[in-house]
Amino acid sequence: MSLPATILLVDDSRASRMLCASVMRSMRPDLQLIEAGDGAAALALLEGVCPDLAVLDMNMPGISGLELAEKLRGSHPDMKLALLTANAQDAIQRRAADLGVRFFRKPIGEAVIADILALLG
Amino acid sequence: MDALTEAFNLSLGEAANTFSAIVREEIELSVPTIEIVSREELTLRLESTQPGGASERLCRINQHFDATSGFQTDALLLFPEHGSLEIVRRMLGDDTSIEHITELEQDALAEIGNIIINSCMSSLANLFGTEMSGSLPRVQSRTARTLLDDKAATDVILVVRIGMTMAAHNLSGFVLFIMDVPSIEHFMDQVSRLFRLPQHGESQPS
Repeated sequence: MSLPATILLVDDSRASRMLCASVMRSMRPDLQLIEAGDGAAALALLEGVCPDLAVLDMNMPGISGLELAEKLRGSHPDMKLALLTANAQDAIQRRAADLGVRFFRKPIGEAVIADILALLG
Repeated sequence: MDALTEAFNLSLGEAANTFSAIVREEIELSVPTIEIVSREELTLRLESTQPGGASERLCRINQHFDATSGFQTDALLLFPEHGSLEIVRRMLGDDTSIEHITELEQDALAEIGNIIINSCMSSLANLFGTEMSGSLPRVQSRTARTLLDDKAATDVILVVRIGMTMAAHNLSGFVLFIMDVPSIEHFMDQVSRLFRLPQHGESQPS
């Protein structure tokens, strides 16, 4: 039997992390979810764990979601990356695509979370 | 002004859709009104039009944006403070306890403002073909009198007012954009380019 998938949620809004985790658990109760409130906390967490997927907010204190994605591309090349943000500017979406990061638009709802979970295969 | 109204109509329509998805309820949009006024004039008007009177507190969520094409603006989302818990409850779901909603209220309001304001600003950036970088959202509770105290008295304010009403709760919010004169001129140039109109300082072909 395969191990349950682990997902890292990085968002400075606790309410958003809570909502995201709640919708994910309702769809896949077996998921292991870990959370970080900014990029630095996420990088510290990743010293001890290697999630299958990281879901990143864009605008956060410290480094942005795309800057974090760039670092994760180097340190965890097999980890799938999703950007979940209200910042839907074409420039941001292009930069995400260049980094191989899938773009998803907030607000958080069942449809968008189902699309993100589909990245796990 | 007509083209400006249309640009904001497009972007705020997008923001209203976003708001509707957050609260899972239909949002009624009023026709946008656009005018350029002084801070003092706007303050007086806000005081006189508050349904709950001048002492009614407003929830203000503020983000600052810089566009690579040369203008900067503060975007403010405002709604009556008495409605904020209901909006947060709608976002987090009916099964969330009141203690949890109260605990997360400020955080959730910042995120709701972030989503609605960014929806609007992303739409404007994409229409103009520019990029905007925004600050993190800041949530404050103010009366109409003190709402704009942190803005310079000399600031002119491009007031775009569009009502977003949750009909079932008779709750209405609106958005303001605050720009200085050079920014308003830059902004108008972008709108003119979008609608292929003569730009600032150019004359209309006869």
